[in-house]
Parts: sequence; structure tokens; C-alpha cells
Amino acid sequence: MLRSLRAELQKAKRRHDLLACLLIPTATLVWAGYAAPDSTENLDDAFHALFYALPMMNTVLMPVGMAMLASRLWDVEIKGNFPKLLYTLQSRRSLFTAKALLGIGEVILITILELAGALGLGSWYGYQDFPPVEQILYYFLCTCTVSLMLFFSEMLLTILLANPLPALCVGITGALVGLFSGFMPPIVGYFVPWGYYIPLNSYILASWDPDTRIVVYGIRSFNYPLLIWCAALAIFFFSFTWRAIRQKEV
Amino acid sequence: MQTVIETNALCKAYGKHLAVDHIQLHVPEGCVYGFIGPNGAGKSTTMKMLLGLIHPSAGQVFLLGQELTAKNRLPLLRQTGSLIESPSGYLHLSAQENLQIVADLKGIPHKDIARVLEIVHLTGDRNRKVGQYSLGMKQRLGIAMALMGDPKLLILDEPTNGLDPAGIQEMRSLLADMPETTGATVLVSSHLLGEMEQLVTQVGIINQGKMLFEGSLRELQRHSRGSLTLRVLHPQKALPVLRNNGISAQLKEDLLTLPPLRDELVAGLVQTLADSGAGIVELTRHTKSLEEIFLSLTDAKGVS
Repeated sequence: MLRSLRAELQKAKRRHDLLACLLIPTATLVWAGYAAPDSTENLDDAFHALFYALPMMNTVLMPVGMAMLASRLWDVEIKGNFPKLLYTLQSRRSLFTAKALLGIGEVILITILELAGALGLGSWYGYQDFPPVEQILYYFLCTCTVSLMLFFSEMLLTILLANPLPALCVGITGALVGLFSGFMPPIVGYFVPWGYYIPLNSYILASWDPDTRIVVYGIRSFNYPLLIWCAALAIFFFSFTWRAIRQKEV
Repeated sequence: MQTVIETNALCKAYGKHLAVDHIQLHVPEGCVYGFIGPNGAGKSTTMKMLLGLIHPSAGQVFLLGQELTAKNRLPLLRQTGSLIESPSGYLHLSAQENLQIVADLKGIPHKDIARVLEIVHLTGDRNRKVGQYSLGMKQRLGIAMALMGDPKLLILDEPTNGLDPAGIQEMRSLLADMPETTGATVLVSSHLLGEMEQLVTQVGIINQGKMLFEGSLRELQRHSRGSLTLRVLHPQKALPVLRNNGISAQLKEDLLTLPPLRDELVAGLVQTLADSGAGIVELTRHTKSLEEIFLSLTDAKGVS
């Protein structure tokens, strides 16, 4: 297994995966941070505002980012015409496990960087409402689960079609549909997996007065049923990706 | 002689189409075995089954004396080098980096990389990205990957595809010397029959999934005797003798062309012609080219 993982890391050389892992949270934070309250505003519920905005940014960026990372992971084999040789050197299981581990590692890295960046940004601006640990863990769990679900669905598509382009197209379309679903009645969001970041978010917009332009943020209870459903989808795509690799003849 | 590859009634069906039909392959140790057939004959499918890349519909594969199973597939294949259809190579990595990945997966030391690069003459280009390589260079890199770890068996599917004439010649001499230089047995497929004639010692001929012939190249050539050319001083004396012996000969510019004949018949005919005073100057037997043999075999089996 270690051999396979080492090979995956060697393949990642000059593929700039790490750069992609840095760019996604950076873009999210720059975007969310631009709109985030700064020291001239009321900072009492500033973290609420930031964590309300971040899932929105994730809905736009993550489907495309996940499509990019997942398709590149498999596309390198297609372009290099490598599976015919690889399957004589390692088992399909070890190849899939190594790729899955690398992908999971990338998703966790992106989420940690995003979360750490958001908390760092808030502390730097002097936000008063530092989120409780359970909120941080819930946010981390939700972001990782949705991202992994998207990652394996895009990887499955790349393997089945032996082409990275459909996965990228689905990622871009998914990002747009997911964003629109955020502005639709809440029930719509449950049918758009690319936008699950939004209905899973525990930070909500409690009220907004258009006259005074005062926004009040609130917290709702954790959406465990949707989180479990999302995890089930992630497991489903993971299993089907493994099945596709196991059964695809080369 | 021990066989390093053996198949027993190997079949592969795609729906109702039988791409490989009860193939019995026997590749003796230490030879260069030519697996010959036209495009779509079932060569690549057979080779993929030998490597466990696709599952046979029926039959068995024996590699290096052991039946290929899901359990022993990888240990057996680690003693094997392969190049199927087109060469593999991560385009964003250099040849050296590509070979490092293969070496790590095969569990062999990196020092072997220099040896294989030397064999395929890529030492000078080892640090160039494979994406910048020509097809011939990629093909040679593919051979280098197959050679990693001194495999006992090399399975190469059309390794000269896309190579220029110089590259083909180079590849041919590389493969022909392989049993002597590395001790490896080579199974090489091709649809270029003439090219194989200069490379292989054993031959298997496949068409439409069926094995038409298997044996030594010499046996194949003997099996399909070519015509004879006879030069005599007095053709007009020779013609009646040939006619009387029931042989239809064609006279063209003092040369008589006779159909393929058995050795005993040729010996008797030479004696009779000499006695008739025709004046035998030269008798040449033409060995059929592999193309002609292939055509005669496919005609004989009625599968073309």
C-alpha cells in the first residue's frame, strides 16, 4: 500500500495539486473576506457573517475544484496510457486506495486551510463571537463530507467516460445550479447535491431590515439527517468508483 | 524444452462474437516467439488475457509454469515485462521519473534504471519530459519499462508500431538479441509478417481468433514449400520430360518455373533430366515469404 501511495505522490510531481489545494481556500477566503465585516463595523456577530458566507462560496468553487482535482487524478493515467502497465505492477485495489487516500487528503487539507484561514481572518479583524468548538467541528465535517461526495462523483464520471471534460462541465453546471438553489425555497436545496454546503450550514440569516440595512445572524440546529444522507451519497460514489476501476477492462 | 507461456482452450467472447477461440499457445523458454495475425485477429486480446488485464471467458493461462490466478497474478507478472498496444508514460514526468515509479511498484532498486535506459539508448534524454518525446522514443521508453528488473518473460504487442525504418531495425535487433543478452523469452506480436521473419524462431499464426499454425519458423517454411526455378542448357529437351512426369512448367527467358514439389520427387526429376541431356545448370527452391504462407494457411483453413 505504501508503495502505491508513494507512486501516487511521485505522479503528483509537476501536476501542481498542492497549488490547487492552496488556491481553492485562498479564493474562498479572499471572496468571503472581502465581504466580511472589518474593524469599522459591528464585530459582535462578525464570525456569524463569515461562516454564513463561506458555504455560499464553497457552493460556487468546490464543485469545480473537486472536478478539477478528481479528474486530474485519473486523467494522468488516461493521458499516459498507463492502466495496462499499472495493472501488471499493482492491484486495482491498491491503485484505487492510493488515489482515494490522496484525494481524501487533498479535501481535508483544503477544508483545514479554509477553516484555519477563516478563524485567523476573524481573529485578525478582532471578531468577538469566536465560534464554539462544536460549530467548528460541524462545519469541518459538513464541508469535508460534501466535498468528498462531489470528489468521488466527479472521479467516477472521469473513469467511466475516460475523459476529464464531462466531469469539469458537470462541476461548473453543478456550481451554478447549487448557487441558485441557495436562493430558492429550502426544500429545493435538498435535491441539488452540489449546493449541500448551504442547507447544511448552521449559521443563518435571521433577519434583514432593508430600511436600516441591519442584518441579524442566527444559529440553527445541526442538520444531521442531511449530513447522513450526504455521507451515504459519498459512500455510494466511493463504492461505484471502486467498482468502475475493478470492472473496467483495459 | 520448458514452456514459459501455455494456454489451454483460451476463449474470449464479447456478446456472441468470439474474439479468441480456443487458443492453444505454447511459448518455449529462451526463444523469440512471433504471434502473427492481421489487425483484429485477436492478438492483443490474447496478450491481455496472458497478463490478466481482461478475464478469459473460458480456458486457462499458465505463466512460468504456474496457472495464472487472481492470487499469484502480481508475483508472476513482476517477473514479466509488457508493452501492450501503445507505450505508457506520464507525459508531465521525465523518463527517469517514469522509470522510478515502475521500479518502486516492481520493488526493484533504482540503479536498474541506468541499465535499461542504456539498452534503449535513452540515457541522454532521461531528464526530458516524456511529453516532448517522439513516438519512437516513447516506444523505446515502453521497452525500457518492460525490461526493468530483468524479467524472465517479455510480452510485447506490436512494439514497432509507429517507428521509422531505422527504429524498426533497431527494435528488431534489440529483441532478437534479448534471449542471449538477458535470458528473457520474448513473445512479440505483429501484423507485419516480413518483419517477424527476421526476428523470431517460433511462430504462432492467428486469424479471426483461431490459431492456424504453431511451430518453429523453419517448420512453417518447410510446411509451405515454394516454387522451383530450373535453369538448363536445352529447355526444349527438358519440357517433354517434365510433361511426361506430370509437372506443368512455365518457360520464361530460358528459366523453367516448376510448382512446389516434395524432395523425393525433385531428386528423381533431376536424375531424369540429366539423363535426357537437358543440361542442368541451376535448381533453386524458393521459400515462401511469411505473407504467402499466411495466405495459404488462411485459404487452407477456409477462415479468411
